[in-house]
Amino acid sequence: MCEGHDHKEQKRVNLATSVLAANDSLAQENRDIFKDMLVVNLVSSPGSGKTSILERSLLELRDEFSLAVIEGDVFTDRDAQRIKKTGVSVIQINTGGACHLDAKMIRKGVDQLDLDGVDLLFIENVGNLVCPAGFDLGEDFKVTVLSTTEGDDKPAKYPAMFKKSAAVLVNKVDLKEALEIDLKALDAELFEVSPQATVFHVSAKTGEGFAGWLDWLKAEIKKKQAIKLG
Amino acid sequence: MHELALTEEICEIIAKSAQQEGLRRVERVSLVVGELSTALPEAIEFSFYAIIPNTSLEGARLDITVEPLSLDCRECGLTGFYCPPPKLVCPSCQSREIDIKAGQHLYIDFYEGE
Repeated sequence: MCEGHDHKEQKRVNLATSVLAANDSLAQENRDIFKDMLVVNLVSSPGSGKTSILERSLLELRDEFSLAVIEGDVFTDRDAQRIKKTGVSVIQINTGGACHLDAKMIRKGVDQLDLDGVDLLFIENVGNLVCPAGFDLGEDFKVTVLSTTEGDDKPAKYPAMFKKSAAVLVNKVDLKEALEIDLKALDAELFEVSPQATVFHVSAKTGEGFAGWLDWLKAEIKKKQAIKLG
Repeated sequence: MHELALTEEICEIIAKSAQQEGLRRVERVSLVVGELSTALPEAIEFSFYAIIPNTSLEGARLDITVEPLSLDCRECGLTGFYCPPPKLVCPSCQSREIDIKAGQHLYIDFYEGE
């Protein structure tokens, strides 16, 4: 090496660090905050009826349980305004462009909500069947809504979201005749892509199928509370 | 397009680490993207080269290795097999009770600089 020459040393730094490490650690902090309540992260394409499902579910559950909602959208507080009419406390998060909610945004929302005594917190994610699958928010599980108007071929096209869901709500089944959708074929595909998910056929408009979905939710709330007591 | 947010995170992690390691320049970044990680390698690459100008990572090269699925069957005990997504089935017993052991990761393996 010549004297006076800059000594440059090539260096390899082994990181082996998950890109989502920061989000995952914030999600874990959220999970600690959520230890006394069931938290459901509702995901779907835009327009599948997440908010309508929420409205009906909240009205059916509000006498029995203490509820809260975090609404996620790119812009506007339209969904929060709809939820407010059910009397359930709600906070709207606007991502301002981002296609998904992350653990940090949830934490901000949580800081503005009174979660004392809450049994069930719903997080309605940004309408998007791809990106929200990658981000842990600290929820107990994801529930995917798939509406009949989207067609029966979506689970295999967007597998990550379905694979990560504890339940799938097939919404707008009141339209099945008009759409000539093959619900059996859809169920078969859901079983092939996401065998772990419990599937409910529902209509947020008529209330069809809600009894099964709500019974399942109630059982999950009780399971979470049993963990808390045990 | 959540890859932009993910790539910003990648650049932030590396810039911070490089500063701690006393490196002035990052030349190469090696990233592992699982086949079922929900992130698209092409979109990460696009985001990476769009973000790095005028940052401490300027001029760095991004190498992406795609991590294939590695699956275990809960039914018959077969381990380390591959099945093309999205419909995961055990090739031995046709069960769908499958654990994903690899193929969902998204991590920075290493980076090089001086």
